[in-house]
Amino acid sequence: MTSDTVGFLDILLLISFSSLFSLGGGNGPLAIIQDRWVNSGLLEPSLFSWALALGYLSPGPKAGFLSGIGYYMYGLPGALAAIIGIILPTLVGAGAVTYWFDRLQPVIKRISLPAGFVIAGMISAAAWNLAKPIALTPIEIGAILAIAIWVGWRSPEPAFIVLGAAGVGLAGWMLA
Amino acid sequence: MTNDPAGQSVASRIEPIQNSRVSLATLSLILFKIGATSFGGLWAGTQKLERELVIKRAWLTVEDQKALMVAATLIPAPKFLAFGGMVGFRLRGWTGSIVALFSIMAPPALCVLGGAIVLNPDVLGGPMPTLTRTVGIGVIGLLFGNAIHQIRSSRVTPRQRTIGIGIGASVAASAILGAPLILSALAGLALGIWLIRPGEENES
Repeated sequence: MTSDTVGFLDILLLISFSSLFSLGGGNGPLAIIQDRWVNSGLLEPSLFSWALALGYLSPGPKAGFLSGIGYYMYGLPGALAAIIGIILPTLVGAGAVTYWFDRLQPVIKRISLPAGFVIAGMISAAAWNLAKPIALTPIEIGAILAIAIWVGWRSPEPAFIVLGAAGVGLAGWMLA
Repeated sequence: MTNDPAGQSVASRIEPIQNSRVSLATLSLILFKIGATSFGGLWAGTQKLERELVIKRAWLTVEDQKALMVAATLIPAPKFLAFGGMVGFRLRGWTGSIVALFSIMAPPALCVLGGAIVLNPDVLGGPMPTLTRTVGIGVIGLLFGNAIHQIRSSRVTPRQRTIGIGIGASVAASAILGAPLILSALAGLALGIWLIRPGEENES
């Protein structure tokens, strides 16, 4: 634990506030946490990075890393505060949007046809932004292309790909 | 999407079941399962979501799923979480949404929490950079593969498909060049609604 000044309510409020900057897929909580807790010295950068790495290797929503941040800030109650903090605004938003979704079926019907292509564009942008800072080698680019074609045409279980990639990474480290 | 011998989408013939028939325990179990077995976020999990929610359970139609995925970007929250919350709300109202949100969030939160409690960066300091790099490459491949799957599964005419691919490429390019993703997506949707109209869909 690195902070004695941040409590349950502080974590809940900051995480809830930070989720407002997630509109459209932005990683708002990450930037806000870095700005408010890491830059101010309340959370060690190595622990922040470690929580992010754990979140990246975990299944499900990537927001899972918040439980690690909450834990480092205020122990188990902090982890709970972080989870509630991200769920509360999501609950309100999901309820509100779904309520209007039901009343806007004709509009939704018009949206659904082009939606697949827009989603494809959004997915591609997300993939590109993930790849940009990595500085990929030609072999890694080839691996990405092979996986993309495999997934696009054969629909394998995503967990196998992630576990396979982790296995390759572990083997590479052991052989190095 | 699964196709029958006649080539018609199985999912397109499934009507959503009555909401009251979905118990909170079942909802919780399925959302927990999705949370525990999906990697790479909402986009990478689209095929799994389609299998679980559309084909196996018939809780949503394919069109519902796509519309909810787009609607998830309108909520100021992580998209995967927002999608789960909306699925829960559609099936069981506010209670369903709360159950769905906690269930889908539980696996990653517990994994990270376990890692934070048991491990520290020094323990796995050696293989960690290599592991995160190779897993990252796998996830990037998954994301691009799901983009291909989205395009391939759209039931439109060849002309509409060509227009749609152009729109998708424009959305991706503008977001990559620095435009806010939500604005790029909304502009792409507006253009798509104008250019890709219902009635021309290729049913075969």
